[in-house]
Amino acid sequence: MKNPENMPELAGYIDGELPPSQVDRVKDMADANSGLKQAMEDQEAVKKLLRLNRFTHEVPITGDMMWDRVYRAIEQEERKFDAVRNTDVITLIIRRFWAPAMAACLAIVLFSAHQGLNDKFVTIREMRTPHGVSATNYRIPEAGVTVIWMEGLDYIPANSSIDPAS
Amino acid sequence: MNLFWTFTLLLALSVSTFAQDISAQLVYAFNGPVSQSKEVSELGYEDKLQRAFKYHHYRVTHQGVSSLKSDGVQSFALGSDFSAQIEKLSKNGDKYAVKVILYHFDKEILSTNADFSKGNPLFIKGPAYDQGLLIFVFTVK
Repeated sequence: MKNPENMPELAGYIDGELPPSQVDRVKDMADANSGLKQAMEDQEAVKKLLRLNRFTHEVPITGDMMWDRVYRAIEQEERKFDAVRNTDVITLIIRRFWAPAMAACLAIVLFSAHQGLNDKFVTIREMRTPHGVSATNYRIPEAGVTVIWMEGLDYIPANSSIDPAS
Repeated sequence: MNLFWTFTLLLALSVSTFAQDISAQLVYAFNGPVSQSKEVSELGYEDKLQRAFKYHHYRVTHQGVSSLKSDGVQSFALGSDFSAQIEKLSKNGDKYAVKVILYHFDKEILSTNADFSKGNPLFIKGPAYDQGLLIFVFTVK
């Protein structure tokens, strides 16, 4: 008799992994060989026992084990939550606040530039002229000066009270 | 120690009161040959006047200085025809809010509120005069 343990087909047969043609072949061989048949029956019996044992040998969950599992599950969830939360904060800052942040930066730059510009010029707040006289003001950036331009004043001929050198 | 603090306080007071004066100048701007322009002034800001008014020569005919350290209205004459009235309204850092009123004889020709900072002049184009123009220059120093 062939040693059944050396037959890879036998194991495949027991595990139900053989194609139908090989299954028939193994069955024929077992019918022709009583030892092989016996070996197959033994193997199947062992397999059956193992199937039965799968349920009977499960370890019962004690209270400690259950709480341990709960704690571990909570810890796992917290870790996941922290990771998600951290990611979300950064993502939120980048995605939600980049536009306002850029706008704020731009506003600060413009405000500073405006202030800086104002520091270089006299700023006219208010002007008042009598009837018949007008005044406008403007800046000459390249000269760094503010000019009030009055119109409507009468021409003054040369006289020494205004220009002693004339 | 008290002497040190007294000295520091006096120094601080002197620095703060050192502060700014506002000068007013009546400038005659004109063209013409240099030989005819008597006592052309070295103002230190001729280039700015040149850019603003395009005249060749500038001469200070009258000037006055008013202190900004005290409140109240101060007047000074710019010759016999013109005068200026200065009133410090407020001070914010290096900036002074000042009310300036210009008079031609007794007639007010301009009243303005302006924020001055040190060294930045305000040019006011006045009336045409002789062959040129009169310009009022106000500067906080």
